[in-house]
Amino acid sequence: MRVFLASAYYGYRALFFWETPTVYLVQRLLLPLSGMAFFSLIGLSGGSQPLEFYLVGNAMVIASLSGFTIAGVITAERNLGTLIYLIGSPANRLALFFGRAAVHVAESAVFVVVGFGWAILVFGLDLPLSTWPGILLTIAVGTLAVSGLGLLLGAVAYVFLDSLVLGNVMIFTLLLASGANIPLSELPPALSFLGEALPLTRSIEAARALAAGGEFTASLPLLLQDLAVGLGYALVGFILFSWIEVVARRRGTLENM
Amino acid sequence: MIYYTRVFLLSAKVQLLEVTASLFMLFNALLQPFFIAVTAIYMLRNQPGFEPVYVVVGAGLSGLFAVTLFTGSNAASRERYQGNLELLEASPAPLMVIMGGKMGANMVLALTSMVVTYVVGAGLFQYPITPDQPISFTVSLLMALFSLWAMGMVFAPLSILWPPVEQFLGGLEYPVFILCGFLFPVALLPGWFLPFSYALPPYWAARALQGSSLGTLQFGDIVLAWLILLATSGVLLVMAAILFRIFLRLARRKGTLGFV
Repeated sequence: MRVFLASAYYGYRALFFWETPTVYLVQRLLLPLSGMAFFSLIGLSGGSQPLEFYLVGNAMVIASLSGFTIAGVITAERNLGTLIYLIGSPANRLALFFGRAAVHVAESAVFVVVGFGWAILVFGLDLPLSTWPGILLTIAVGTLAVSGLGLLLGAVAYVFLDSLVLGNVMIFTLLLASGANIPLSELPPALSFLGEALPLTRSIEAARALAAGGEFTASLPLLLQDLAVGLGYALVGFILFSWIEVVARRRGTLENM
Repeated sequence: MIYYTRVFLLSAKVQLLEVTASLFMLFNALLQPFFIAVTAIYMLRNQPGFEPVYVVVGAGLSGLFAVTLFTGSNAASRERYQGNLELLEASPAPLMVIMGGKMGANMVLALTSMVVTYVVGAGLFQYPITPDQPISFTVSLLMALFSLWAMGMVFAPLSILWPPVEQFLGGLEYPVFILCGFLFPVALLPGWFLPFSYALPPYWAARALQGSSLGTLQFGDIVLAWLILLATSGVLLVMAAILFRIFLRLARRKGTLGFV
């Protein structure tokens, strides 16, 4: 637990050591909120769905911030020269690996809530108070699920060496194929299949159903499926992380830039 | 003049080699406009008056601007991080000409965004992508590149004078896409946003490019957009010259040219 908490705390703090509060707000809030507005306005200008469809979908995509930053942790450790010490430590790998995701998950979930607030205040999204408990739980599940993908990308970043690109590809793939902007039924089969395989897809669907006044119990299976998908990505990420660590130790390539 | 041209071209050559080796810049020039074009086409293609050329041009512009933003904001600061800035300043070649060459190369990379989105529209989706006024479109594209180059020339010294600006500029990507109407008309925005749109050169670049590709603007309106692009670019270049002078004077006085 101590390793988990320390990993969570330092994994977060170290990533933002270079930021001032203004830059933090611009990078972490202005960018996702303006991205949400951009795609929602494209939808409003001529999309096949009502504005609410795009607002809810794009607000949920803000959850991908967690995956983006988690994926960046390994690259940041390597760039700062601390990866070898981390790997050399006797700390439990599971606690170390999942601890790094903890604060990002909580932070991103808060940003999704801010995204919904932005949609209500600026675009007039109608979300009755009774829908909020279900939506909040959906946000938590969606953020956790997409964090699993972030953990996998973080492990891939060991080999690929550029988590920034991996994280961006993840976000744009979610914007295209998760149903955030285009109903899966309007996508070609390959993209629709990709959407089904991504985390967040089912959380977005659940959020839309809840925002439309649907019963929470009806959305529960979707949320459980999304949680399972996210967990699957996280486990694959952890296995990959462990395997790459062994190979990198053997070959002495931990700090390859 | 020949000397400056040689410095400009050499700097551009080195930058082109460097920037094409950066995965992040390649992402901005190639992958991001690809994703935006594909997503926007799927979102909009069912509307009755769908114009694929509009999406191709708008998504291409998003790539052009993203490359300008990121390469411009780190053009000088990257030299500092690599320890080259003092050497560049000590050389007899003016720093602004060197940076001009770097931004010129960045514009060559940025131009590939348009090629990518054209391939998406014409190749992937099989739409006929032909500008309605090819000559006006070509001139508009050159004007757009020139104005974005001038913007990059301001970003370079700005991000050295005030380091947080580099991160701050990174957050302005979508706001500029929105304000400049790359993929939807700015008429969708509240009226008080329009003065901000008019003040941004990419808005006029988008207006000229979309107007000439769709044939929705009279030639006089396109010429007006060109003139505004030229005027704003001139203002930006004067600002860049002033900022470079301030930066060099401060750096020499404080001895902080190589500080990271």
